[in-house]
Amino acid sequence: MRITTNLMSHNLLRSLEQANSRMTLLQTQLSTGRSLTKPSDDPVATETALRMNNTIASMEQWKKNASEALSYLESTESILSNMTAMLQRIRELTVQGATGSLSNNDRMQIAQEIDQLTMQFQVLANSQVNTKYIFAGTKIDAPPVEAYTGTGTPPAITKWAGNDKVLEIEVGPNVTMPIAINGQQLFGITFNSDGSANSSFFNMLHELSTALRNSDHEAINASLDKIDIEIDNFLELRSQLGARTNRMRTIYDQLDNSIINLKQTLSQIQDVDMAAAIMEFNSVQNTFRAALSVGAQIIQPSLVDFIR
Amino acid sequence: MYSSFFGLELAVRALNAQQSALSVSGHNISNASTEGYSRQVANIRTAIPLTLLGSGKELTLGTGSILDSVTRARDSFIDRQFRLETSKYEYWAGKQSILSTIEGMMNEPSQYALSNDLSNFWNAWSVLANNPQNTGARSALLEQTLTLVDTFHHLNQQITDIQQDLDSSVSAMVNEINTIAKQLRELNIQIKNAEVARNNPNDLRDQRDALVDQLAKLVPVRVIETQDPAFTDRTVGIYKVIIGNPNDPKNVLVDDQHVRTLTTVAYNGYQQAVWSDIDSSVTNVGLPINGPITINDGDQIRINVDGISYTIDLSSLKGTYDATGTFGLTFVDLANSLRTVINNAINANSGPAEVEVTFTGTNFVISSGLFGPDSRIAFEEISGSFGRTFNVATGLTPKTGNTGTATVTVLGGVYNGNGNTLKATYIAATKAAITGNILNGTVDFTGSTIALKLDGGDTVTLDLGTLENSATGDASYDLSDPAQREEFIGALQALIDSEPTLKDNLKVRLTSDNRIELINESPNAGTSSVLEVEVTGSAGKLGLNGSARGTDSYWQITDNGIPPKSAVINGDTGTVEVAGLTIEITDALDLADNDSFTLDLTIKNRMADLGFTTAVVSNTVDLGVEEGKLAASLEMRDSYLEEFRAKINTLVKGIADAVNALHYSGQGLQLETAGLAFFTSTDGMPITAANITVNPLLLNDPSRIATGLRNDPVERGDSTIALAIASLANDWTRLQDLINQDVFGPGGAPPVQASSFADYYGSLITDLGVNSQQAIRMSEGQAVLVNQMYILRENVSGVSLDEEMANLIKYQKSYMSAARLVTMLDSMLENVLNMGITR
Repeated sequence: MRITTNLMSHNLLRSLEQANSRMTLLQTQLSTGRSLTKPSDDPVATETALRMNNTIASMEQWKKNASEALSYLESTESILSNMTAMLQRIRELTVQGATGSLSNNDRMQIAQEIDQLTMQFQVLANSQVNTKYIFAGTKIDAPPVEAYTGTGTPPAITKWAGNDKVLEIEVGPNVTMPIAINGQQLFGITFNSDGSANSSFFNMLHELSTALRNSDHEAINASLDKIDIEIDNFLELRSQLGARTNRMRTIYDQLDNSIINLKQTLSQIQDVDMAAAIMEFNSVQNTFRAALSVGAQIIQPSLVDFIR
Repeated sequence: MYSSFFGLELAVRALNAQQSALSVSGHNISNASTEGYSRQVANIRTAIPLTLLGSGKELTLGTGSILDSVTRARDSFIDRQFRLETSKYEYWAGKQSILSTIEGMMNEPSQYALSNDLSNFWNAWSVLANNPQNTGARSALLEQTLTLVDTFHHLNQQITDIQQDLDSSVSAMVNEINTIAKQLRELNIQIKNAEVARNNPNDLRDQRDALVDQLAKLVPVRVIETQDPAFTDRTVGIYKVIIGNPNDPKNVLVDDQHVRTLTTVAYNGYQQAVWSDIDSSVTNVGLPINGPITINDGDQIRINVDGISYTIDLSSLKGTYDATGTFGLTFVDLANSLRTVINNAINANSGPAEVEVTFTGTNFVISSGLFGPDSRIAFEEISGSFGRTFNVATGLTPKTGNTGTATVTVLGGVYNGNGNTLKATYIAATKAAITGNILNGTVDFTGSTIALKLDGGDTVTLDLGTLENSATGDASYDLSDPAQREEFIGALQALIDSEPTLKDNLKVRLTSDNRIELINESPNAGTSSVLEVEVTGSAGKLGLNGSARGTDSYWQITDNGIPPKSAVINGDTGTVEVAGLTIEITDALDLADNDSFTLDLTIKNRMADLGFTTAVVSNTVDLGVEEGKLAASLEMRDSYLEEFRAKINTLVKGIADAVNALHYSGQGLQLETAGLAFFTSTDGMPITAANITVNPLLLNDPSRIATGLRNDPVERGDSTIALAIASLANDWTRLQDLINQDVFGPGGAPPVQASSFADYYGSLITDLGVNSQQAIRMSEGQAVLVNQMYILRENVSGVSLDEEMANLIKYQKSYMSAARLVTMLDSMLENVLNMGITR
């Protein structure tokens, strides 16, 4: 087989080109840190990487949602604990008012404190977290109760502007969690056929106040039972809220862990193994140098140099 | 005896021969690195010997050497293989570079690409779902949507840009082919002139071969070299170059001294390569037809004749055709009708020429009447139902067990909705009924009465105190107890039945949620059925006070587009316009509630049934299979990029349809009576990546973005719709009801054929990656083959300096020896001359 001058230089060029292109590829990988820069590098891995990126993005959003929900739940919890404390106080006052040794005047004082507490309850029924009225169900833009601001015994409420749906947020694929408690259940709201509302809670407070002012012992004792029922109701809903808060925390932690795991897997798919790439780069570089020096040695001399 | 100067002559010949051979070697050495140069070999042969008569017998003496010819060392078989492999390599390299451009355009996987924009879009809905009342979240969603819409526009534009780049490169390549062809012709003339003069124009031949190599990169090339029979005493060649598919007789580019040119004609906005001297029209031959063909209302074909597309409605060709006319119509009739109908469309649009349609006995054939490069026939795809016209009659599908009949006719119009079916449901006239409260609690009916008035007749008053509870004996019932509830209803019915005017005309029943209901069962139905009730006393707890009227029957006609278009026909028969079509219902008999009929609006493209495919038949150059850069550019521009664009459009339309379908059923912070679409198109046509935009009503007023279900009064905290749209990032779960109603396609089809939008997009990118990887591998493999061929060629035709140097030594020594011979002969002749001189 004849070896011509052109052939030798052509071959040298070709091997240099190949070594060069390999080095360029490794250089790109090392400088971007990615072994997967375009779909043709590894189509199947690209699909996996895309899918994982989508899942990670969704999970980050759910994590944010869970965090927002936790703050909402915790605010609701503190309001409820406030309310429970107030209810306990009302119970104490009622027990005090039920003793026969008190004068009518004293009962009057107690009634006034009960009235103040009732008005405070009405204000708390209109509490907001993040501009949302938390006890109004999904009608979050209007206060559910018309808070009484006058003097004297606040009347039992007759209007409730909320509904019994519960706000939900998304914390997983098609997974939503309620983040509020049912305001209507808390205050025992029922509706009449003409649209007006009755609240067993506020009715109880109104009856108590009236009973104290009239020194109606029977009514005061009856109220005591009703207060206990209301306290049980509050505690049940508080524990429900507590359970939801715990669940939300668990979901938050789970999402956190999942995101870390996914990111790790994603890195394994698309990131370059630095050590391996650098080793390969060195070896290709050596090959390149060898090709250069050998090529230089065989290209130059020919018979021309040796014929005088 | 021979001449005295014979030896000298011989030596001189030797000197000449060696000197020429030396020059040839020198020529080789100086051209050692010239591109396309093939080594020339000096063929020195012995000169014609001299026959002498001497010593009584014939002697043959050699007369030296002469340079017979200088030939070039070239193997045409290796040339042919080299060109073949080069064409293939250029095809794959061209394809690889374009695919790599597309990969760069999509820029996946990265943080700056479409998949990221989509994720952000779904996340923005999730953020909005957390706080639907927050105007900030609404504005953020709109901004994210505008980014997404911009990305779609941008991708669409980039695909068009790449196509236009390829278009100009196609024009450039065609020009280059023409230039090379002209140069080949010039060289052919020069070479022929030289050959006729018995010369050996090696360098011209080298140039010619180099040009053909260049041509082989653009299109597959085949060279046929034959001997010209007109010259019998010398070797003169005929050089023919065929490009493209060698089996196509039209593909001769250069035929010795005759050259043809290519030109470009526009088709669908892009340049196609055609022979400029074709003077024939094209014919599209369909596949053989086997069974009968039935043409129905609404069938269409779409045909491009000589560059203009026509959509032909085949409704006037309704009927069943077959080869022998069993159903009254033959295929020949169909061919004639098709010809008439297509030519009518061509004439209406002032097309250049009419077509001819014939049936050959086994298949249909359609030819264009136009001659020349612009002649073209192509069948095109039709999809969807937008823009469909038809008139059809169909029968009623009664609800199971019913015997109703009606005739439904579409009188005309152009469908302008987004769906693919039109459904009409009959709602029968209802009778008057009053529903009361949920029954609970203890009610004592003593002393209460109920006054009943049916259809404007006399008022009948019943005394409820006469009811007797079997448990207590008096008129009080504990309605929380199911047994007592039942008993109460039964007793009340008995009381009503005791009145002759009310018996069989008024029924009492308990609904599924334990409410009491009075129904006027008299034969009147519709608005003439009236029920008035007035109660006194504790019976008020039943909540039955009031009056009620029945509703008349009507037809509800709706398409399944997004958003749907609907209309109502009051009564049993009538005409109405819905979604651009005029629907008439007549001859209604025995209709019952929920009888319905469905019209399939999808256009049936009969192209395949007639045996035709979407192939473009024209005078375009048949460029063979997977060879040449021109073929790669044309294929990428016309089929690959268009399919890619179609897939992106499917994704865009799917997203728009799904989001719109969910958005349409909701409302934002204000009361909406009719739903709004979230995505609309800028030009009123079906949504594609080019024309998608956000509904301007929402851009003006972000509070109208639907987050919750439609409700009066507005529940601002309801985030059902926003959550449903956000869940589209994962799968179709929240879309399942709509999918089952065939909103996105028949047979419960989801918006895109995948398990989610991300899945569909992922497979699109994977396909691109696989195609690109294949192109890289094929081009690398081909590059190795091309290299092999190059080595083989160099092997035969390359100049080896060592070899030339050795030759130089050889010729030089021969020359020196010949010169020595001259010196010797010179001195011998000197002796001869001196022989005659006497002292």
